[in-house]
Order: sequence, then structure tokens, then C-alpha cells
Amino acid sequence: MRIVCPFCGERDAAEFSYGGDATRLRPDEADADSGRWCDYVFRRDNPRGWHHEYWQHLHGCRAWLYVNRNTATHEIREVRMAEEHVARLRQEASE
Amino acid sequence: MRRGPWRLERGGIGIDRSRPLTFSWNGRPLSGQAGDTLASALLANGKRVVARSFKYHRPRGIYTIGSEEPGALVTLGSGARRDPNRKAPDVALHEGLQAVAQNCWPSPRLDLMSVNGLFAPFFVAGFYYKTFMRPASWWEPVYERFIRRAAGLGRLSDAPDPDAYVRAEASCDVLVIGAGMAGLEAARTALRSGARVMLVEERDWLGGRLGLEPAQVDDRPATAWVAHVAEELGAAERASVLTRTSAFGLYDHGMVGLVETLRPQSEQGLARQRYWKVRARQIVFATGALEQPLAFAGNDLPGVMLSGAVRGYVHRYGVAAGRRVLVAANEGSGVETALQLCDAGVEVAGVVDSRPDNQCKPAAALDERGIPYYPGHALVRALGWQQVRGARIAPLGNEGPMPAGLQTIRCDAIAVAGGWQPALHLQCHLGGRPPFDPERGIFIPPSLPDGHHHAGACAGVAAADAVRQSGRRAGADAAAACGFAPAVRANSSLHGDNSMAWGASDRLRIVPAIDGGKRFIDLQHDVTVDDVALAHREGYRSVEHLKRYTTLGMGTDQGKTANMLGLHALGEVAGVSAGEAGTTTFRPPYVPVAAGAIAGSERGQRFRPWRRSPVESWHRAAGADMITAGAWHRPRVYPQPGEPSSRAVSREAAHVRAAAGIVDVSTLGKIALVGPDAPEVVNRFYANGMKTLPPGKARYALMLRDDGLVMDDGTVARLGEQRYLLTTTTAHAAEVLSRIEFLLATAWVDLDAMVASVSDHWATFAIAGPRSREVLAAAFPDRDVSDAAIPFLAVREARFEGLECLIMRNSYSGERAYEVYVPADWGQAFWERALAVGADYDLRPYGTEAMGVLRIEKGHVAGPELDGRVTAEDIGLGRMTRRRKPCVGGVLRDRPALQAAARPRLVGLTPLDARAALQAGALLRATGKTGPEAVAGHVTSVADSPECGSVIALGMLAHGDQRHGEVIEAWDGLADRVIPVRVGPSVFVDPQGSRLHG
Amino acid sequence: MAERITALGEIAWPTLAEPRLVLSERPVAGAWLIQVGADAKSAPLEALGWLCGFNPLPMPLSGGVARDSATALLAVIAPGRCLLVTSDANEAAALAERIDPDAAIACRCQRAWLRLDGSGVDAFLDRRLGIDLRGGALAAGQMAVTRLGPVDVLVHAAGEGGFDLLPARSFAAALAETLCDAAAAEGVRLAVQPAADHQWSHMA
Repeated sequence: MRIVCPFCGERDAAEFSYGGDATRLRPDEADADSGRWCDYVFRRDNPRGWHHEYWQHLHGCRAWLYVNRNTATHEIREVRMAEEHVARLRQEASE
Repeated sequence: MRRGPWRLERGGIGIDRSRPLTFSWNGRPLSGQAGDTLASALLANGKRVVARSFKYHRPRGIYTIGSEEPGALVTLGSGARRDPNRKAPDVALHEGLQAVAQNCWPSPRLDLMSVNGLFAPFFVAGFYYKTFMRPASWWEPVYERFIRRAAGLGRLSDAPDPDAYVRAEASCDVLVIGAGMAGLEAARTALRSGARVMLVEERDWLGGRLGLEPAQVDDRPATAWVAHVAEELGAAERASVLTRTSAFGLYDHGMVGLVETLRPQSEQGLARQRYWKVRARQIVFATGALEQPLAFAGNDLPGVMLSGAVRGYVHRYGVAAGRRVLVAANEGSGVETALQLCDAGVEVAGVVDSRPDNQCKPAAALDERGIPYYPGHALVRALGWQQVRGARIAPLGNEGPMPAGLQTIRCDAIAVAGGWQPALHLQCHLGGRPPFDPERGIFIPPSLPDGHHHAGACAGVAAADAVRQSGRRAGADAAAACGFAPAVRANSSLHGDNSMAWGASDRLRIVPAIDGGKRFIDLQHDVTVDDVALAHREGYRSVEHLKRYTTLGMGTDQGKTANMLGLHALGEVAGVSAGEAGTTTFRPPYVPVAAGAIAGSERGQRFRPWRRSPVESWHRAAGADMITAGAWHRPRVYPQPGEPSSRAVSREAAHVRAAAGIVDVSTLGKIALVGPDAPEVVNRFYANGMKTLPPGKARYALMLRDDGLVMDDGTVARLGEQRYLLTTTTAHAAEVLSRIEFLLATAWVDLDAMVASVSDHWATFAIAGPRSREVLAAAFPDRDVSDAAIPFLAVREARFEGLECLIMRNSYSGERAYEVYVPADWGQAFWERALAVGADYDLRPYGTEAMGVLRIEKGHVAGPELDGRVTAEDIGLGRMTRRRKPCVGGVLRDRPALQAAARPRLVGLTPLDARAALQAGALLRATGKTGPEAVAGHVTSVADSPECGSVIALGMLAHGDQRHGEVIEAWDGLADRVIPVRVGPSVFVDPQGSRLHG
Repeated sequence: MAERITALGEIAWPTLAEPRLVLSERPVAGAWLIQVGADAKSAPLEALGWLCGFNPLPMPLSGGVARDSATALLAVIAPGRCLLVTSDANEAAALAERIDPDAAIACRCQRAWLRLDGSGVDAFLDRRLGIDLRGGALAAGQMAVTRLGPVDVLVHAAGEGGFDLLPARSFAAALAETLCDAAAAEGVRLAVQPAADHQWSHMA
């Protein structure tokens, strides 16, 4: 599999380290609601198909990336810097 | 039958008759020619029985002329280089090659294990699912041993592979797989369009079928055309042509795995094979087609060979497969085969053509040569005991072959033409299933993501000029997809019959056994037509079940000449077409690949990259006993000559408490954190308070996971207002850095801070013991190292030979101690200096074992305690993190279950017998209790403590805090040992901590 | 004077007559990781660049960009992050005075500074790397952070056809061994020359 790092260009998947589901915003450390923390830490979907996930370009620029990948076909639809994805999530959350 | 040599007097475009080669077969010397394969050389020497089959030990001969060979499996080489299950047609002959038959004893001609064949009625498909079950206790001592002897193919050497291999990466615009006519056209077109082209071919010559048949291209011999194209490709900077290179796997996103054979064996360190990982923007498959056999009784006898192979051995190697060859065909090439053989000087016994009479054209050419023609007949049985001696044929009526018309034909070889099937394995590695084309009766390539093109026979194109055009078009399309203007030339003529007729889709493939005998489908695993019917009767109806129940297609040839027949046989009993039966999943590798090729040089000591501490050479030179710790080698202990290791460890540990020791802790993770928000990052990341940490001070720090359990411990040193140095355990360094980076990128995006590893910048040493301050003073003579200048937990800058260093006063051992950080290039220099000036204060080096003894004596937790299942409270650090604050893991750590009183707590354990052989991992339970419910904890770390004069241990014990003084037992189930231990506080030595300041 | 031992200097490498490729090592006088602002403009960075002889430093800097002088290398190794390395003691001293320790990470010995030169070096290195050197993925002056075999490395296409390779110091020997193994297997004569010169000043 190949992943296109926005900073470094296309590289082999072996340069990256998988970082889990990227569909949730992390609660603030000061948020004391354990229900929200449980949701963030434990409850995620595991779809066969399009998945929103984080990868770190561990053996390259070390940037954290957001990737939209199909877990069945490995097709990759979108890669962007994780910060951009988080900004998007925050905007959706505030709407 | 005509006698005479098997090597024909003339012909053989691929051999050099002026260069004979000597090789050995089963220990006897034979001769061949340069350009031969092992198969052609064996045939030339009349060796027709070369192996025995897997299950029934039936004699096997050479069946094909390529890597799809199911039967002629041989073992090459000997000793450490013994290489079993090599396919004879796939082995290039070289001087001195050693080959032996396998799976037979004493020889392929006389194989005593063929007694298996007598039990054939019992050894039907799946027999092992129904046998060898009772009594169950007989399995290992009796059944398994017997089966291992009786079954199996070649034998591997268990010596390490002495050959060298290398891995390489490559990128190109267009990768063309297969250098037959379509592949050569595709590569040339893509090259002329401006693309960077890689052309790979598994044989060691180019041209594919053009090198196996007499043919003309553009009014000249095919070989001349091939040479011309090869020259153009070879001269081009942008093209790279790899022969003897198998494309064994297709992967996502245009990645292909290749194995290139460079030489028969390594010499002078040069690699035998090279594994290429290729990234291609566009891939053209020109993998050709594989000829398929017919299923008739006795069709596995040596002497039965695919007709294309028979023609190829004659044309390329000048070898006749038989002295009197009978051709059996269900499509048009049967006549062509007979004509070619006859013109090359091989006697042809006749052509048995199973097509209906009206499709068989009058064969004047056969008449002229006196070759009998039997249209509308089928070959019903091959006769012979170890080799073909004759055949029975019968005319075909409405119900099939008619017994009344049976006649016997004398022959010693049968050339079988069952039609062709596109070679699609590689194209299906991404999981696609090939659709079936009922008109042509073939499976065709599945749909693939953009960037994959098919050309030639593998795309279902049969006629010669159509093959050429499809190659050009594929090359042009591939180049265009890369952004180049495609260069496509006009059509040109092609002479010679190179056509591959697919034949009628309903042609006769499986001949009823009206004369008895077994009809084989898979020659490697001895799967017959009857086995397929049996599987179906027993309920194994789907093609996936058929495959696994009968092992059809599961051999080293992946059923390349068996699967199609198998599907047709399944279709017959199930009443469906082969297309409806469908294929099983295709997986890499397409051909067997040596594990060494995948490993390259990453084997043995090079399996993973080793990291080096700046002082590693000193440790080794000092005779240290080294141990691997992750990617590092660390000194366990420095034994004196003749000193037992355990005594040395105790000596080292005792010496630290008595005087001074120095240990290399350069492997610790060190992370630099700077920026305006660095204090905020630190405060959120660690569970204990950090806001009050002033510049110039360090603090022991605990990291939690998001779920509230402890992740790692380390220290936080504040070097400046916005500057920190974090340390972690060796094992968790990478994880901690990634975790901080993750939080900064996905959660704390508004914090302005930069974090980076400085683990390799600093060499780090701990100088510990009552005299450590004196040593430090001697090592840093220009610096004030008094307690006033460097109080406990202070961090200070210092200079060694003008270099910026750090001194951090913390303690892992519980003694007065200083961690010294020196730029790594001067690490060894400082280490040597410290030992030199420290000699006056009795400074000695100590290793990781003694370090472990010291920390266990002090109840300091480390990896064995921090196993991912413990909370801060469990390990006695509840007080340190008592004040709750917003931090990672801060909320979920307070879930009720993580605060439960019954949780295992850290305790100290002292065995009643001071010398007891207590082991970490032993389970703790109340004395005398047994059973899993009695287990109340486990032993985590064990040390032989010189200070306590006893073996001591740390452990996790339920209600541990309330059980001090109790005697319980440590049960080691593996060693079947029970050791009584007394529970006590986890700190064994100096519980007041006064030695820190001593 | 304390002996300086660079990463490759810890090991005795076999000498090779008439090597085709040479892996040499250069001692680092100073190295810093510098955060560049989100808008990639940075006056301090320009000043630092000027000190190293990069006149002018093209701002804003983007990924893969590197500048090198005879003694220094400035590489944009990650979004918003530059690595500045120099082998010249005077340059290092001047930089150390100007760099704010709270805004940059001093990491002099974090990486070994190696250089691979020789005839056919780009074809040899192209086969070792997952980036397409021969296809121009790394034009002269550009850099990339990637893996060479199992070792992470910063690769910089230096002028005159050579390549700077900067692995983490503790991995440098493994990197050299990986290159030697591949060279031996492919029949390329590769010699390793650690930085053996003890004369240079180590004053930072």
C-alpha cells in the first residue's frame, strides 16, 4: 500500500504507523465527564469500507495525518494533515 | 519404434551444440548442451521417469516446458545448498549442476514406496479426515511418524542458507510483465512514447512462445525479430530488461514483487537472487496462456506431455519427447503439432482429434507424411507400466466413446492438446475473481483498479497479429496514462502460424474411462476425476471446499495445469458450467520464492538494526556479559575472569552501596520539549503536578494512558522557563514521543510547543554510591558540586573539556547519585575519564543486573511492574498523584474498578529460605490453597540482595497493603515448585531514604 | 584533550583498495532543530541562514528543501521544522550565540553526518531507497526523510553527485552495515571512512 504524505509525497505504507480511528474529538483534559471520556477512549465503529483514521509518518517527517481509506479495498480517498481534520471536526461540532 | 538418440540431429534454436555441459543426475554424470534446461537435458539422455507423485508414488515424467510443471520435481544441490521441489523445465543447466530425484527410494524407476499405489482404493480424496483417529494416543508416536515418512515431496536442508541475497527498490512509469510478443510490443511502444519502462521475464530468454515454435514475424524468423526488439530496449537508458525474473506478487497501488535470479549460487559474496519491490505507475500484464491437458485414463504416465511442450522441446532444444509420438487433441493445434514433429524428424504415430468430424478439415498434409488421422476419436487410455507404451482410442458417438471401436496404437509418448487458458494468477492477487467467457471457454482477467492493462493471450487474444496489436495498444495506453504522447505504429504482417486457438468451449476435456484406469487432474497431489465426484457426493460442493477436501491445486504448481480440468469435472457432477463453478482465491507467490530472497541481508545478527551506545565497545572490551534490550546491547555484568555471573552481580551491587559505581544508561529515552506552552504540555501529560517545578529542578514523573492505567515513568527536568528534558524508560521511548506528537497534532492543536528526540545526542551515565560526589568533583574539577550547588533533584549545566553537559541529581538505586549527560561523541571519553579519576574513590562500573538488584531493594517499579494493568495506586504512587488535576488519563483513572480495594498492590516478598529459587512470574496464593480461584497475585521482579543477605522480590498481591507479615506461597506451575514467602513493605533497604543524602 | 569518537569511529572498518563508493563521516560542530512559524516566514531563520552562507535564504521554505554550503546544511524536515547542521566550529559558535535555547533544540550529536560518493552512487542508492532517485524525486539540493533498509535517514542530494545521509547516531553503524551488505551482494566495492581526524576543535 502507498500513502501520499502531504509533506513528503508518496511513500510505502511501511514508513507509516497506524494511529486508530479519527472520528472523534478528544475531550478537554479538564472535562470531568467520564461518559464522554469512555466514548472517546473505548467506543468506535469498525466498518468494512470507508474509514477515517490517523497515521503517523513515523519513518519520514513524523507528521500525524488524517487518512480516509477503504478497509476492504485499500483505496485511499483523502490524506491531509491531522490538524486540518481536527479543525474540520471542531467546525462540525460547533454547528 | 525407431531407435536412436533422443537428441535430434538438427534443430534446437536455444542450444549451443558446440558447448557441451556435464551435470549429474542421481549421482551419475550426464551431458547436455549450453542453453539446455535440466528437463531438456534429461529428456535428451532418455530419462523419462524423474520423480514420484506425492500421495500414490506414481512415476512422474516431464509434463510441461515451464514453471507450471506439476510432476518433474527434483532436488538440486546438496548439503546446505540442497534445494528441493525445483521444477526441471525451470532449471537452467550449468556445468556441474547436481540434481537428484526426490520422494522415491531407492530411485524413481524403482520406488519401494509405490506400495502406496496398492492401497489407492483407500487413499481417496480426504481419506486422512476419516482415518488415523483412533486410538487418539497413537497419533504422535505411530500415525504421524508413518505419515511423515510416506508422504511429502523433497527434503529441506536444516543448515543455514549459505547464499547471499539482496533487496532492491525500483520505480518506473510502465512495468511490463512477460516478454512474449505482446509484452515486447508493449514495452517497445511505451519506451518510444517516452516512458521509463521495466520489462520482466521469468525465463532466461525473451520471446515467450516465439522461442518455442517456428514462426515468422515481419517476414523474418521470430528469433530475429525478438533480438531486434531486445536490442532497442537494451540500448535505451529509460528501459530496463530483467530476465530470469519472476513477478511473484501483485499488491495494492501498483506495487509488484519480483525475484531475479542472478547466479545459480553465491560466489565471493555476490547475491544469488535479488528481490525487487517495484512501484509502477502503470502495469501491463503480458503473462500469456497456459496449455491445459485432457483427462483420460493413465494420463499421468511419463511420456504424456502437453503438446506445446513437445513442440518446444523439439524446436528449442532439439529433443524428441518420444521416438513415436501420438498426438491427442480437442482443438486445431493437434494437426499442427504432428506436422512440426514430423518435419523435425520425429516419428508421429497419428493424430487423435476429438472434434466432431465436420470440424476436422481433410488433412492432406498429414496424408503426405503418412501420418494416420483419427477425426472424431478420443484417446481413452494410455498404456504402460512406468512409461507410455501405447494408447487405446475409440470413436466418439452420441453417448461418448464407443467400446466397440476400441483400437490400440503403439507409441511411447502422447502429446496432449487440451486448449489454453490465460495465465491470470497475478492479475487476481488483489482479490478479483476472473469472469468466465462461455464463447471461448476461458476465464478472462478480472476488473482491476485504473493503471492495469492486459495484452496478448492473457487478455484472451488468440490470433498472432491481434496479439501484437494488443501489446502495442496496452503499451500506448499505459504511456498515455503517465502523460506521454503514445507512439503507435501501423499494422504489419505476420507469417507462420502462431495462433493459439481457444477451441470450442464445449470441447471434450474429460474422457469417460470406458477401458478402466485412473484419470488424473492434479498430477502433483494425485487428485483424480473420481476424487472430484467423491467430494461432491460427500457434500463438498463449492469450489473452495473441493480444493481443500481434495487438495486439488494446492501443490507447488498452484494447479496451473489442473484447476481448469478440476472445474470442468466439478461442473459435470454438479451440473453447472465451469464458469458457474468459479475459481478459488489466487494468492502470491505465483512461483515458490526462497525465504532468503525476502530476507535479503536482514537475517541472523542483521535481522533488525542494532543501536549502539557510545560506550559499547568499551563494555565489550572490558569483558562485559552483554544482553539484548530492545534494539540495544547492554552490559549485564562485568565478571572478573573465572567469576560466576551471579557472584559478580552481587559484588557490583554491594560495591555501589559501599563506595561508588558508574553505569551506562545511554539507552534511556530523552525528549526535548521547548516552546511557550511547554509548561502546559508537561502539566497535562504527566499525572503528578508539574506547575510548581522551577527551572533547575527535576521531578520523578508518571505518565498515564487515556484509560487511566500507568503507561510509563521517567523524569521531567526543567532546564529553562520554556525548556524541558523528559526521560523515559528504554522500552517506551518511541511510544512516549509519538504520544506527545499525537496529542499536539490532534487535540492540543492550540499549544505552541516543539518536541523531538535527543536520545542519541546525550550519552548518559549514572554515578551512584556514598562516594559519588567525590567522583563527580574529580570529573568536573572546575565545578562546584556541593549539596548546596547541586541539591537533590537539581539539574545543572556543567562543562567537560569545554563541552556543554548536564548533571541531574536523582536516584534509581536509592544511593546518592548523579546522572551525567555528555554529548555522545565524547561519551566514551567521559566514561574513561570518570573511571580514571574515580579510581581514587573506588569507582567501578556496574551493569544492568546490579542496577536491577539495587532498584528492587528500594522497591522502585520498572517494566515488570508497569505491565499496562496497574494504576498509580496499585504500585504505591497514589500519594504522588493524589492531587487530581486535568491530565491524560485523569478522568478514567477514577473509575470505580480502578480504585477497588481488592486490586493487587505492590508488596515486597522475602522467601523463608533465603536461597530459594524464586522466579518472576510465579503466582501468589494463600498457603495450602490450590486451584485458579486461589491465585491472588504474582511475583514481578526477583533479586539476590547482598544488602539483605537473601533473595527478595516484588510482587502484586490482592489486598497487599493489609497483608504485611503474612506468610503465603509463590507457586511456579511450570517448574512445579512452591516457595513460602513473607509479605512485607516493598522497600527493603533504607526505607527512610537517608542514603540519598548520605 | 578528550578524544572525540564519532559514530562510525566506534568500529574498525576493513580497508578497501580502490573503492568505487566511499561512505565517509563528517564531525558535527553544531546542530539545532528550529521551529519555523506557521506562515513559514522567520526572520531569525533568515539571519541564521545568512550566517551559514545561504545568501539569500528563500522564504517561505517548503518540504524537501535544503540549502547547503561547504560546511553547513539547512533542511526542512517536517512541517514547520528545520534542521540546521554545521561542521565548522566558528559557524557553530556564532549560531549558538544567536539561537534562543527556548525556541530551538540543540542536538549536536543526535545525528551522524555521513556522505556517500563515488561512481554510480545514484543508481546504487536508488536501489536502496523507497523514493525514486533516478526519476528525479530528489533533485540536486533537495532532501527527504525516509528509510534506507531498516534505518531512518535524512537523505540530501549534495552537489557533485554525492549524497548526505544523516541517520540517528545510534543507528549509524547499522546504516553503514546495510550499505556494505548491499554493496557486497551487488559486487560494488564500498569503503567506510569514519571521521578520524582528531585535530579539529570541538569547542561549540
